Amino acid sequence: MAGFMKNIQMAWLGWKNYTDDGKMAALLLVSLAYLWYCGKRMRGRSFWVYSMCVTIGCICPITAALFMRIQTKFYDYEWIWSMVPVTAVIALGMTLFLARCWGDFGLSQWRKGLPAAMFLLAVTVLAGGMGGELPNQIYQVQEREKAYGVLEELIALSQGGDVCLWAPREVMEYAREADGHIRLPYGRNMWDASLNAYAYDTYGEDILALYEWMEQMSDPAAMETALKSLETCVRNARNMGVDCIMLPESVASETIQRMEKASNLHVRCLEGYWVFYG
Amino acid sequence: MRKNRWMDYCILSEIVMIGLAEAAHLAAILLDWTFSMCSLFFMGLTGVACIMAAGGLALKSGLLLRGHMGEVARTRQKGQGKTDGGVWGLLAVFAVLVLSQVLFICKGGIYYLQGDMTVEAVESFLASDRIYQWNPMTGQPYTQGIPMRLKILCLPTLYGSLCGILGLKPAILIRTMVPILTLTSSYVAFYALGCSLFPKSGDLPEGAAEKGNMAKGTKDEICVVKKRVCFLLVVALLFWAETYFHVMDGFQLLFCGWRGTAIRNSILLPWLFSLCLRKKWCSAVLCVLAEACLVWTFYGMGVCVIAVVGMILGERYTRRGSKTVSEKHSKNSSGPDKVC
Repeated sequence: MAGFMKNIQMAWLGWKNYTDDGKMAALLLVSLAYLWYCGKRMRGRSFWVYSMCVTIGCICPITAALFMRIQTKFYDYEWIWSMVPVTAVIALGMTLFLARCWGDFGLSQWRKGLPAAMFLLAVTVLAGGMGGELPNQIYQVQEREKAYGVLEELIALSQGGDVCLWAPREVMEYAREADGHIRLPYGRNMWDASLNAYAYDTYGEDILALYEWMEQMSDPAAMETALKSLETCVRNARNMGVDCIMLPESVASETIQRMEKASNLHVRCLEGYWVFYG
Repeated sequence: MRKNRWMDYCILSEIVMIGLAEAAHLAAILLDWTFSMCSLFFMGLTGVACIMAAGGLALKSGLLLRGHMGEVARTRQKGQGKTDGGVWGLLAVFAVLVLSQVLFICKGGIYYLQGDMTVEAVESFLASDRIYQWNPMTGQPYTQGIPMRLKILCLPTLYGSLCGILGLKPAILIRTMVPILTLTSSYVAFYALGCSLFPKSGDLPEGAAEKGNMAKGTKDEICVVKKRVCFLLVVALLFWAETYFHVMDGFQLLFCGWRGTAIRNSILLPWLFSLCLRKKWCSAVLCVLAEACLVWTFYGMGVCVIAVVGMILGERYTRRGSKTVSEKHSKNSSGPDKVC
């Protein structure tokens, strides 16, 4: 019962989140209402009835919680909206509205049709957030390009990419997609928790320590703390099979010397990173 | 009942492809095959399916060609099948929108990768030549393994096999070519739905032609074509507008069109609704099976099952409703004081 109540709470918060950025849900409701107004003349009434029922089901917290319970914990609230044909219902409503205003869509009736079309265009543009999640994605483009640059150099250096790499997060993120031969002590699922649902494997304390150490090394404010345990962490990493270590170019030359000595690897500079390999 | 149309065959061929990939994938998992052997088996199955489809097509087209040509000639004589400037105008705007989306995907770089490891999974299949033996995240062997419900999903095997056949890098095939195919197929599926929502008189099941708002004359038929194209145009516009949230159809098509959820929401579901509106329930089952090979939701039951059941119930409800209305009409019209 407590779990179900939590689901209801999550469904309510999920609905608020779903309607936060864009207003497609509002457009869907308007469209459903218009299709109801079109009534019996409309073909595909069963489509409207289905859409109406599942929309109400997804909005009402109790039924939404029930859907969430059935759809498995693998997916969040917003995924129950997959059942609702949002795009198709809005498109149908808009087409019928436009057909009513514009008649046969001919040039002769443009005086009536064009304002209606412009109105719908404006409504669509305003209802869509026009790229709410985009800024974050655009930042990732530059990050990916930089990571691919250094990884390609590394693959060439290792003659095929058969290395076990330990590097800052922004490089590790793209290492496995750049080349399947590159192995890592920990992967993207360390910081993207949703990926942990794909496997029963979990990381041990020693691997978590490696991740935290590298995060500290990438942060100038926390670098001092990380330097205290440099030798221990590098020894652990080498014991785990790591044979290539990367550090940001900003680290001090003293740190590079300590790292070279502790890892027993040769250092070189590649695309803005110190690479200890071979 | 009306025969399948070109849109149905397009989507059907993709579902068959998914089915074959699933067969090869399951065989490899159960018989502990290497990935290259699984890929070879998939290629063999696809080859057989292509030969069968080509044979069937040749036979059918040979038989139907004469009849079809006669029908085309009759249609031309009657003046049907003509389109006017309005249709071409709508099509031009639609083409611009689709082209902009294809260019956006081709340009690449902006992907939604949260909770997705398809490229890594395919890379690990190709590098290890095994299926789900190495953890795609680390490239190290699994210590505990992966859930069986995920192990049966076939998309990484399908993409990996295609990479082998076409000689492409997984990142290019998965993040550029597959999303373009998904986008195109999505428009095909939405067009099929548009055809079902705005039918010509010949598109409907027997006996249904009298009901609803279907076209009766040539002018009406052109109007129906315009409505269908307008429907597609609005869908294309909505895809751009829906790029603000990761569960929206437009967002999934433009930023992660390789995912199972994108294929289900943008191809399988619109086509499924189109089939249900045409009462092709048996074909609708194919969507349910295809979803089971691609995505795990509702404990494997899938969204498609819910949609089919919902559409059946909706159909029964509306039929009962329309009967009641027609009974009322017949009672009223039998009265002596009826005014036409």
